[in-house]
Amino acid sequence: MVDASLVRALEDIVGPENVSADPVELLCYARDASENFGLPDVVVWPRTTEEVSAILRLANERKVPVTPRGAGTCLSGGPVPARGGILMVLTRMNRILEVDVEDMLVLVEPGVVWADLNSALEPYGLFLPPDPASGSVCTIGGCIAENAGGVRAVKYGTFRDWVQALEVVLPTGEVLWTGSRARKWVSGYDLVRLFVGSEGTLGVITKALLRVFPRPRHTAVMSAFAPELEDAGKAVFYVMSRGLMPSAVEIMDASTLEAVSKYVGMEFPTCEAMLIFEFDGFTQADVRARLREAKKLCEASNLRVEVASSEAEAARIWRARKSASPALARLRPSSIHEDITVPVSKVAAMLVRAREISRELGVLIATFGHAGDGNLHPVILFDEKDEDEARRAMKAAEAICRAALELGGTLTGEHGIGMSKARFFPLEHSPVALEAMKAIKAAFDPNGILNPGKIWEVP
Amino acid sequence: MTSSSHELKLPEELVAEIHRCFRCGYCRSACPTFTAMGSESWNARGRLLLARAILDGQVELSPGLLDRFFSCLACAACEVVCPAVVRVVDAMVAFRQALVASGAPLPERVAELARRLLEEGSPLPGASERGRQPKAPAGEKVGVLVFPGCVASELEPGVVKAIEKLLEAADVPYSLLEGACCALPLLKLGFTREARKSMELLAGRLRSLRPELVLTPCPTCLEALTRYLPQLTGTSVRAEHTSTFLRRLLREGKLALARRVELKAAYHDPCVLGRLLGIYEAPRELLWEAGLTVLEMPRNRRESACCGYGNLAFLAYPELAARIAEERVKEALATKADVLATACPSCLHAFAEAAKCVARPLAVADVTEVLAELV
Repeated sequence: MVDASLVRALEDIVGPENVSADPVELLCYARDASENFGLPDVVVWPRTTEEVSAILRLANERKVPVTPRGAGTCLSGGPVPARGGILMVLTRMNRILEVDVEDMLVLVEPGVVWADLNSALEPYGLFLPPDPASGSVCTIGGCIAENAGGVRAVKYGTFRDWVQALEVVLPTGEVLWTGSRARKWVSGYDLVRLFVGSEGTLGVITKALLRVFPRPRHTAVMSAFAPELEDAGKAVFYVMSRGLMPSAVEIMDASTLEAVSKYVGMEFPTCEAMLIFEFDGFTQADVRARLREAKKLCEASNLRVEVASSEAEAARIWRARKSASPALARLRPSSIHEDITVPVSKVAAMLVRAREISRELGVLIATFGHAGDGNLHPVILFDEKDEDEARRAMKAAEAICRAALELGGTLTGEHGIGMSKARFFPLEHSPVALEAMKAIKAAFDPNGILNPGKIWEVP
Repeated sequence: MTSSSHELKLPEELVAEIHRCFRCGYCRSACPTFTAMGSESWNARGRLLLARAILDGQVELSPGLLDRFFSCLACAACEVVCPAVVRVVDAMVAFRQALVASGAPLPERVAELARRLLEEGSPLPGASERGRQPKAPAGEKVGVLVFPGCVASELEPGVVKAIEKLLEAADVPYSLLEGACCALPLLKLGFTREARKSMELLAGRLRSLRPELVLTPCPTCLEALTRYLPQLTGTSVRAEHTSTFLRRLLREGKLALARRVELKAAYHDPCVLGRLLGIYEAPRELLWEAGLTVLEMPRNRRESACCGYGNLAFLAYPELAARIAEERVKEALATKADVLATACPSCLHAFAEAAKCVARPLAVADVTEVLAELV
């Protein structure tokens, strides 16, 4: 039961209309898009940095856990209040404070929705390149905290590469500004990069200065069908190592294609994997030249290539990729979405390993993802009511994580560790590295109040 | 956690539908009640989570909890953006049916609305005091039977007058059936048994009148007549929306406009007419024919935003409905249109009310009213 004096104190800070301890509301804030659950005691919607600071000071004094949240689209449990306490929703801090066209910078509050920011940038011919799939709803604060990526990350990187400076409220309530408006800086420790991807455990982002980029005027798209997974891997590797800078290199394996085919009624040539390449740029000649070169490399790897000759054809190809998640969701009642990432030279090996694991354990695994940067999403499909199958699915998840690490990869490329991957965390990091991270956490958050139960704390 | 004393019975298929939501939260971009209220419990993801919690006995039923279900406008905007393709409206309607059947205490204004629909045959207060008697058409053979629906009859009579004027101008003989309830709002609110009874009543009247065509300006009445009437009562009638009917009259030269107006109109797609029944172009064509330049709001056609009055929500949740209507009127204002046009009496009523609350005056009209001005 929630401490009534805590609710009153929060109401004093933000006003009663921005606090809720209604069980109806609490239930809806106990989940994100992952399988994790954690019931908050109270939800609070601050509107200013000062309010965020006052809430954290209060929580720090009373040693009450605080979990920050944006739109709750996280796939790893980041905004799930694992230890209860205060859930701090930043969506009412949603102003775009400044668009600096000359220096190509924007200053935003954390609750700005990704799509709203990009709409606001459109008239200036600018955009924020990292494009998480949840862009229509996810918030910039969440993207930064989780270091979100997306399809375009293969060319433009993840949020880490676009954050220039941050205003952060520390768990003690102190406010800091770190980073610079200058493009280059080596003045002291790079705290910006420390906060990016810290999964809301080190501080609450209240303002972000982001770099933005001129919107490319031309794009070209092609699809390529591989007779073997190894051929697909080879083609991706050649295109990437030739420096052709594609803005997307997506892959779908045969199981994914079968599901998509059933779901949207599209026909695909018989193959082990479909690749989608997109090139963007500022002149058509440049875009086409790079596409032609990539086509040659694909064909040399035994792939059958189809270049989209119109926008409608390009849209059709993208529709296949965008249907992957919903199509797979319809196959079985439950699913585990992995987010492993391997060096690009190991993409084929990882795809083969995933298929072997599927066969060894007798569980359906369909893999799609961002092949160009090695970020793959093997989806393990099962029925949670079937205990034996559920056990095999969990085993498959662990086997996939181990395989990625053995290939020199990582547990997660863009979703974060959160609660979902915490039990595998020690597989990737040495005790010394873990202790260093814990020391950093303690330096910022001596009482451990901010987003406890994440990353290395197994829920 | 306490378990509820009211047992909910839901078809297995819809329990599966509720579980199909994988909580991605994409409905946040589409749900009008979420935009108005600003917290998760008012969007599809929240409602489905709450439905699961109720089914699992994790939460006590309370009027506040039930508000989350009964305030869903059944506009289906969430279904357009849902990657899991959850049939949210079906799930919400089924859940409301289960709640009503369980005898759970309903939110006061919902219960009052249902009572009026049942006992007075009208959703609007005071209908029986006004001595409102259903006006049955006179004469033997009924060709076109105009079925205005409750909102047009009682709140937007201009639409009924416009239809009459247009039919007279086109020399189409017609009869008018006012005061008959299509029963669909009752059904969608979850009062299955009562809605069935009410629909049987309507079916009986239609069987005795035997019209060649039932013509309605109300998309919900049209949905009731074409989809639910045959399904629930076995009675089939030919029914058509005024927009497609008038388009045919114009195309066939049976209706001629005496003049045209050169104004700019933002056209609002009513959820039921567009997303549910697939009629997007006919109302636009009528506006172009009338000389208007049709402007599109950012959210149009399949992505159209609900006016807020969906399924009579303005009677059960007036503040919420008004807030949503105002948002939409602001969206129309931003197009710099002179007129906000629509093809649904409920949407029209929503915008007429909301337009009083915004900074710049904006004319609102049903497409039938626009045309009637010009014959």
